Amino acid sequence: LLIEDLETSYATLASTSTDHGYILFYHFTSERRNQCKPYDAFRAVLAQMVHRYRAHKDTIDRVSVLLETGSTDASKANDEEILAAISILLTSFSHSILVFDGVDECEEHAEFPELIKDLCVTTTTRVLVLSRPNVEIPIDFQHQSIHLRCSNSLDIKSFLKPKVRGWKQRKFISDETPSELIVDKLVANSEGVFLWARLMSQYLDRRALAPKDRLEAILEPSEFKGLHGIYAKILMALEHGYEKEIAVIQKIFGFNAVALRTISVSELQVAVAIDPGKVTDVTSLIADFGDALPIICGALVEVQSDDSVRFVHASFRDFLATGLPKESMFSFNERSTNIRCSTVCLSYLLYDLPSSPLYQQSRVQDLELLQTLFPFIRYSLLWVDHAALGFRVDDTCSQSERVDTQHKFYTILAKFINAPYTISVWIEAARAHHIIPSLKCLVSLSTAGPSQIDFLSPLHTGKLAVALLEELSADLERLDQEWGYLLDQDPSAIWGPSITAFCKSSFWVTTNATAISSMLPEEAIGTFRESSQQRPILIQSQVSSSGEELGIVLVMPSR
Amino acid sequence: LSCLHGKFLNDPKLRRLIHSRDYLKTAETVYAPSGKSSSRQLPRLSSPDSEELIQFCSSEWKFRYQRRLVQNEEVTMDLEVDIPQSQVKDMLDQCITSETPDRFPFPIAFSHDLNRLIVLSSILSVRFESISDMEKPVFNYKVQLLERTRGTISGADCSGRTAYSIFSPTSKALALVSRPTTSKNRIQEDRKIQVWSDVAADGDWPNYNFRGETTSIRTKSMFDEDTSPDLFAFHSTDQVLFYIKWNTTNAWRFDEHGKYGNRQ
Repeated sequence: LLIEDLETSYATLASTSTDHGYILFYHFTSERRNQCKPYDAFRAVLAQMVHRYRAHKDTIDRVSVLLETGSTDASKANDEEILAAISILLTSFSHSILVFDGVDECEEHAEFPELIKDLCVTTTTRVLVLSRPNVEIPIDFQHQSIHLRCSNSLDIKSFLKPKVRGWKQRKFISDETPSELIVDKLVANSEGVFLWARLMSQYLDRRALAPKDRLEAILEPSEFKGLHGIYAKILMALEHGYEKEIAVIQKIFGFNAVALRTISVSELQVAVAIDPGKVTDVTSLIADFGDALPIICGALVEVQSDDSVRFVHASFRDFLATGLPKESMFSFNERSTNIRCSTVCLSYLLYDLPSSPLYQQSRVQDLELLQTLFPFIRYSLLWVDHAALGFRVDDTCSQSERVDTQHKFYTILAKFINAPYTISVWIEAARAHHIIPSLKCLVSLSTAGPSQIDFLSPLHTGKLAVALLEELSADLERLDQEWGYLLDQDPSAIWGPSITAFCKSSFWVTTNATAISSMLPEEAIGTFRESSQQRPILIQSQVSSSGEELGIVLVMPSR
Repeated sequence: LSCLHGKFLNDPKLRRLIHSRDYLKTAETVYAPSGKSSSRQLPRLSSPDSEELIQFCSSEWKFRYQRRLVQNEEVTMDLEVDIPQSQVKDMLDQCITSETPDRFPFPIAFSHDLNRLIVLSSILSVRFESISDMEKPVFNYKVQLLERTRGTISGADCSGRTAYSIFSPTSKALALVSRPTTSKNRIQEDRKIQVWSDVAADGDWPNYNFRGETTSIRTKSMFDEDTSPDLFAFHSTDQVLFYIKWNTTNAWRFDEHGKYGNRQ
């Protein structure tokens, strides 16, 4: 709305002058974890500028010259080039407006205002930075900041009034305390943070609380101070749930905390239902998962309009990672959570996908249908990345938890490696999603040394699985090299007559109907071929008309 | 860079280091990437330099002929034969002066029963003889160099420009086919066909004599030259070659005592 409003008022001005700037914006959001750095915002702003000014050839030329004369020859502009290009464009076009929303979710929010200052100080640009008040504003900028604490208190009040009325009607709060007082107290404690008011009302909604508890929370809210306070209180309440319920919440928090991309409701629904090592039954899926999610998680997780799931605020992930005591049920450990996610993905590939071609004409024609039939298929392809990430970070959890997590992973991994049909399905699914199945990043960890990957597992399945993983990795590289072009065109070719006959591997499905052997003399094949100076060169071969004999001609140039 | 401009041959020390394998490797490295781009100027060696390079590289080449049973991969024959230096020289000369110096035309053809093989201009004939029923047959072979007989036939030119060779179905005749090297004609496609036939009596080692030469011409195919059908074919039993000349098919009897008759 803000952008639209600004654009409407700018439209007349922009149409009267050719060098008038535009409104350029960026929204930091924790659901795009890899796009929360200041330069991600600047890159996006530059992209908008280049698009806006594409008709101004002189200006675009100036920018392109700048990029070409840079020290780097990479096709992607580096951070300095981006700042320089924006600077040129802001100087060339006056009165641009930059809008940055959600700066509290920016990873380096302390440095961000400084960068903006450097960028705009010599121009006529105006900047609007929007943030929750939990971010400390650098002292140089404090005089320019406006706290909406007072301005939005009326909005918060309007939000809370019907809630309080509802609590009173349901006898959640005794009639003796006036509603006005309760609303005023809550508004004051929210300190202008709407999110706090929303989470607090969710907390007060809990049926397990007695009217006295609610009133204490409202009138003496020392334990509810700030977002961290309310997070802690909600989590404490969630810890009192059933064991099964807690396990579900742990899975939801875990997946959200380490998700490598935005995870959708249907994907998370399956992920939560998976019990590694078992087939996931339809009856294991939580009904109306999208609606149930905020209730299950005490409103700490929310569903976006695009059906994606995310934490209510980026600070909640940090709170799970660092703000909770180690013994908390929801304390989040990056290593074990990633390995657990990898185990869940592997289990899905192994137990929940068919052991036959996915792309059989009668069943699946396109990716969309594949996704509908197997909602978690796309995310499950990230098992390698989760495992690699998990083993890469240092472990801080207890030895027993570590052994348990890794043992489960290695057990499933060993089964996966010994399931040729599953590996064929994995290759087919990955290729269908334009991903080249590779284990390089995982194998490189095992060769990097014991500090990177360990084999903690009571039955030594770890060492065995990793040894086989290296062989599988080499076979996958060979497959990509020799047959990648065919799999690009037709992912189901992994089941076809060519690959099953000519690219045999003990790891994926191959045919026994054909046998391929090299008829070349030993000197012309294998390692000898690579190294020897005496290597003969195959010129031609032919089968006799009787079909009984093969003639091979090799040429040996001098030395 | 000096290599790219052919200056490396001016250094006598370097000259001694050049062998044919180095040439093959260098030619592939230098020419192969640019070979696909017609816009790039190809580096050229001066005439004396290229002659000297070819001289260095053309000696001691061999070919190896191995035959195996398809059934059990058993090797029934394995032999190595020297390739005459003159033939290698012709081949290298042909490639170094061509538009694709990284490609080495090495025409080879087998007879249908694999008992005859032509490598460049050397014909290898093989015979298996059984000494006793108990022992495996042993093989004998004989090599005939086509260029040795060249001078005896007026008009024959085995100068190594052969693009490919083909044995007739009975192996009694052989065609050496060449394409015009400098043809810029975009409309017509032609092949020069030299025919050699075995004049030896039954039981003797084969002896191929030059029978003549003709040219087959037709309108250029829309298809890739390498995949378009041949412009000629041998008769399955008789000493007859059928070939196309524009819109007619000709039959050439090349066994009539050295004379050849053409019929449309």
